[in-house]
Amino acid sequence: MNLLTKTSLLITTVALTVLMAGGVIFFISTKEMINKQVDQELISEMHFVIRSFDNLVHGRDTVYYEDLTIIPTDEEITPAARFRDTIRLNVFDTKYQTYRMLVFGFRKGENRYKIELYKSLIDSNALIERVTLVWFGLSLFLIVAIYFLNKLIFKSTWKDFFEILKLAESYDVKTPHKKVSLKESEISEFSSLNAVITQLLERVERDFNNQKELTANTSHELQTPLSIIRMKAELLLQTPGITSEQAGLISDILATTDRLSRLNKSLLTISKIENNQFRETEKINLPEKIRSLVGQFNDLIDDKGISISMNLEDTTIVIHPLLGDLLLVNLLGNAILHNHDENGRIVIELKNNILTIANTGGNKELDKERIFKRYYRQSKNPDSSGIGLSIVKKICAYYDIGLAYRFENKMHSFKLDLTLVCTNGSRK
Amino acid sequence: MKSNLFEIFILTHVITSSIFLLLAIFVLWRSITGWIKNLVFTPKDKLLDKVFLILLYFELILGIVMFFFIKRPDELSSISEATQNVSLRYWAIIHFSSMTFALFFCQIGWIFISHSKSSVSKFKYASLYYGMAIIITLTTLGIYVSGKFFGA
Repeated sequence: MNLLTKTSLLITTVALTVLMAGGVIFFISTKEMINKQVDQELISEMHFVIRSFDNLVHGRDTVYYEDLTIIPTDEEITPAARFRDTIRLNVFDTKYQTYRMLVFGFRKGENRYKIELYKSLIDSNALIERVTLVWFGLSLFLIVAIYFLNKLIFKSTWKDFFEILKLAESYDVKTPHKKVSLKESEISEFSSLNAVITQLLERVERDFNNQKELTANTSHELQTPLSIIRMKAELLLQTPGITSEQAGLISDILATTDRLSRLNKSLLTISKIENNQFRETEKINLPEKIRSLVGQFNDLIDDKGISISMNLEDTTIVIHPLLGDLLLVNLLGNAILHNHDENGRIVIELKNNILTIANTGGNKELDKERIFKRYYRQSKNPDSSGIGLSIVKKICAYYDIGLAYRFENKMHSFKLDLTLVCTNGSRK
Repeated sequence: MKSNLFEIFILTHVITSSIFLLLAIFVLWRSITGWIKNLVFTPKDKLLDKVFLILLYFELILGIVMFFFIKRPDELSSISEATQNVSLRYWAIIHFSSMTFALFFCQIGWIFISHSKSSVSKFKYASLYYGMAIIITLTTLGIYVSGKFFGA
């Protein structure tokens, strides 16, 4: 539920309660006022009757008018007026109607009379009804108006806040040259929020750029000493009179240096992917690319006696060429590296935008939760840096490629859903 | 013909009102218990609330129809009819107005319940809003009963 709706509903609830309570008071007081008015009129008529008694009676004993009855009586009637509601037959339309009645006693000379004055309540009741209905209709109108007006006012007042929210939602620290600019607000709290958000985003951007620079510089700086170590080790290897044991040790140094160099380059690649530095894309014919890479790995494949079967549908994907290479090289490389030393198998299938690379090797399922994490190695193979699948995962995440691992029929299978990068697909 | 139709409406209104009242008491009890004891708001609770609200809307439609069937005061042909009519017309206005407010409370409550994330929150809103609606309903019924016994 959004802020505007909740606030509007709460205010409407309060308005409902107040109007309802007010309505009860209004109804009771209106009824009382109107009834009092009727009573006042009856009292005025009573005074008139008393003043004009002789004219009204005209020497008769009993007098019946539509709204007046004078009856002689022997009972002792108190002169105090008494009010009562009653039902009487209306002689003109022969219908029973409600009346307000005033009864009082009157003494004229030796004679005592009971006088009843009547006032029809049809009009006053109808008035109360109509007034109540009008008030009710007005209340409903007010409640609805309050709800919508409140929403309108709130929307206008909180406009600056929603602009800040929109900016914060759309802000991407990786998008270059997008400056944070928030309008000055006339509401002090929003101005403060503006200032805080602006500072926060500037700090985030600064830290991000520093981090990016640090990663790039560190990686670059590491390459230089690694290259020197490599160079010196190679020179040492060529030194005449070197023993085989010494050569072995130097080879180990070279292998480790190479591994360190590859690791360094991989980390730099991951960092560049995270920093959105691979924005360009190209159309790549996937079957052609796969066949080409398999060709490059032919020596290794033949060395290990691995049989490859490929079933590739014609598919074109839109991806940065380097990342496309890395994706396939890492998966294919792993399929070869972690395969059996003899009679291994690799199956590559590309159908309906789904690429599956499956390989034999290791009879246990890999840990699905950890295989894509950096530096995790399930095998003891020293050539494995533990970072290949991490790169694969990063590339897949970058292009919204679905990535899944399964172990079935003694084969480790990696499935990529390339739907979103196939010809019309693009990174979100 | 008109009076037969009116009788049918009255009967329907009485039956559905009785069901509504029983349901209302149960819903209120469930809401308060759920709020205090931190119970889980189940799909059954949601269904009950929905039925509660639908019944109230149905009562409103019935009430609007019946209000126009109630005879005007100058059409009465017996004392007992007239006596009945005065209190009935007043009460009809009070009842109609109050129940419309009750419906508003229930509707707002329903919106809050639908959008709440936690069960406690749902039960809290149900207790407050439906509770208010039930108080209004019982109050107008009380006025009617007291009016019947003590006169308008």
